[in-house]
Amino acid sequence: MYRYDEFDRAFVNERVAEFSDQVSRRLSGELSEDQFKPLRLMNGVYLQLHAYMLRIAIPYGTLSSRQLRKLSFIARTYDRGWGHFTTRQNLQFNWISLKDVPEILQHLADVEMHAIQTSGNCIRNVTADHFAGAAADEVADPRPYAEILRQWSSLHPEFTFLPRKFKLAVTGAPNDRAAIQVHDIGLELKRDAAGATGFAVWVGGGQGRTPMIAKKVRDFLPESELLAYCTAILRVYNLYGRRDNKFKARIKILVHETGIEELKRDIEAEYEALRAENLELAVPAEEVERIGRYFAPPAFETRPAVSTVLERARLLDPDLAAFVERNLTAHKQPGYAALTISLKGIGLPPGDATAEQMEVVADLAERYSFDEARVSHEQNLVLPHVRLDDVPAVFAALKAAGLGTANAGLVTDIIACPGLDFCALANARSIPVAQRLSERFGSPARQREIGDLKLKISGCINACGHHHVGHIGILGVERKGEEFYQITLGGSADQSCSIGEIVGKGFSSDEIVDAVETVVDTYIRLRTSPQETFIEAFRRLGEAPFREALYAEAV
Amino acid sequence: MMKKPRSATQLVISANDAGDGRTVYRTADSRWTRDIAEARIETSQAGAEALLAICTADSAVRVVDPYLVEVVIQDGHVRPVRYRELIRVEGPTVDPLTDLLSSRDAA
Repeated sequence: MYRYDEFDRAFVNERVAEFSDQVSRRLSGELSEDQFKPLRLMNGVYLQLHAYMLRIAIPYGTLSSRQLRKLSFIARTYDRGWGHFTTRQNLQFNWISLKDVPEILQHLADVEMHAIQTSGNCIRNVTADHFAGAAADEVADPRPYAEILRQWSSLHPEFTFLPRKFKLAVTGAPNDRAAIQVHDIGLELKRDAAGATGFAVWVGGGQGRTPMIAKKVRDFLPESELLAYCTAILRVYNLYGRRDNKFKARIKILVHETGIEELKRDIEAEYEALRAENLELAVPAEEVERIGRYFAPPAFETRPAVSTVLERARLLDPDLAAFVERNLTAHKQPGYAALTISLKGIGLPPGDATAEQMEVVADLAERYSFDEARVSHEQNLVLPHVRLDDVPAVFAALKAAGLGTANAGLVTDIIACPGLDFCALANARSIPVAQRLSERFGSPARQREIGDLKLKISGCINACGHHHVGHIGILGVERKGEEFYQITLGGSADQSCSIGEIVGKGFSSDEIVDAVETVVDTYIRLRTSPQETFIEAFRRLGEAPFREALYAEAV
Repeated sequence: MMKKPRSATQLVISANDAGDGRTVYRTADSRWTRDIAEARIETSQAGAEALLAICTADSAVRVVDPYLVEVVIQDGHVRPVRYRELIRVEGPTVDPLTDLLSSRDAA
């Protein structure tokens, strides 16, 4: 894992001191809310429906046990004993008092964490594949590059006041688990024919009220040119991005309105000008290597690919067998697995973890996963490097902590934003809908029958719950004071990225769970075999049979 | 910012406490309270807006972004019209994870 150097430590500590002073000036009345708001947002402090919310950055979703224990401590000491992991691999605390924020930030700084740039029109937390450094299909670990981007973008003077927020995601595998095509810049790490490392570069993806899939602007950008090229993209965006209308200010709108070919020419021209004036933006190979050393593979043992201990245990324990089937991902190192810890217990709020659960995961990470845990954008936790022999013990500990749900990638592994229960922007509740859907589909047999299915719920058009890229997406809206839910079908956030289509008029809160079940039953009825997944069936069939099933009675 | 109520005749003023962010309401004796039952109810738009202007001055120190909330009196209780505001009064409709897990342990 990356460790702060003196520069990181100094800038984080300076920011804690600066913001502590700003908080005390706000509390004394010296600063008005108008003066204070931009300052608090720069430090991740939002004001939500019921309280201040603190959003803490977890760079590329990677956490040490020590950091996770600190988050647990903060949850217990300053919040209500739990936290909410988000679709940007961050953690949010929902019940924070402003007077406590300086202390919390100091605690975070002590474990090399902060909340800087988790809000505002700047470059946000860089996200990455949650199986980085572990996945069997990985070309290379994306985290060194995500870390280089983090250092470059942190307090970048030129990119602190962009037209709108800006999000980067990096994947190191062809199977995209980082949703790079719905980010402002998406980077896919790859190798050329000579084995050199570089990136496919995607620009202009995003969700929100105007969902767009990113356009590829480079098929292979050499590794050393990463920062210079990103600088060129940001400069073009900073110059031409709209500032007159916040709903049209994201780079996706610029790409759409300008056209990708013209914008590509602008980016390339800026890039050439940059290279001519300042070659220092090139990332030296030795710097890539230096950062890369922080992410060197841990000291894996040489182990057989199949664990007889695990195979025997799963024969005796059907719960373990189900967990292994759904929650283990193939590891690049024989005898190991990446293990998904579902934060989607049946009927529970998606993405939430108690302080005690965070501690359990921290202990397990320390003991069984080389001191590392991950946060996925699907709002789960991951132990990236677990010996197969250790899986039974890890599962037993998780189960005892209420974390043994065997549903990764299934219909109950629901992404949901905080919705109207917490969020000041939301129009409708998300979490209770997710809970009811989870209960409806919660039987293991029913979930297994349905198979892989991504269900995603947002409580407003800002789409924090990624509904646009859900195989089944649900968008909450308010109509005449009532909550209604629109269904979108056919979205996908992976390498075959697609935006879901609205299937018809919305459903009331009472109707939405039945409506989703109608969609699911229609899929089961029409699929060619249980091996044809929901998204494959939808792409073959189109929306017509689903619409017909949903609205037949109304016609 | 919230939309202005259209032609409501019963309005209270709500904001968030500057210190802990909690939902608060303006009382008849110019305090801020967490209990909507104590809120001063204005029965004219003009009166409400005048009070809002006074409250806005408070936002320099004590509260954040005061605004008008349409309410009705039901069975003697002050109740916001919009669902969002009802959630602000009553808190999240979701039990916290800590409680949900404890109740499962107890079952």
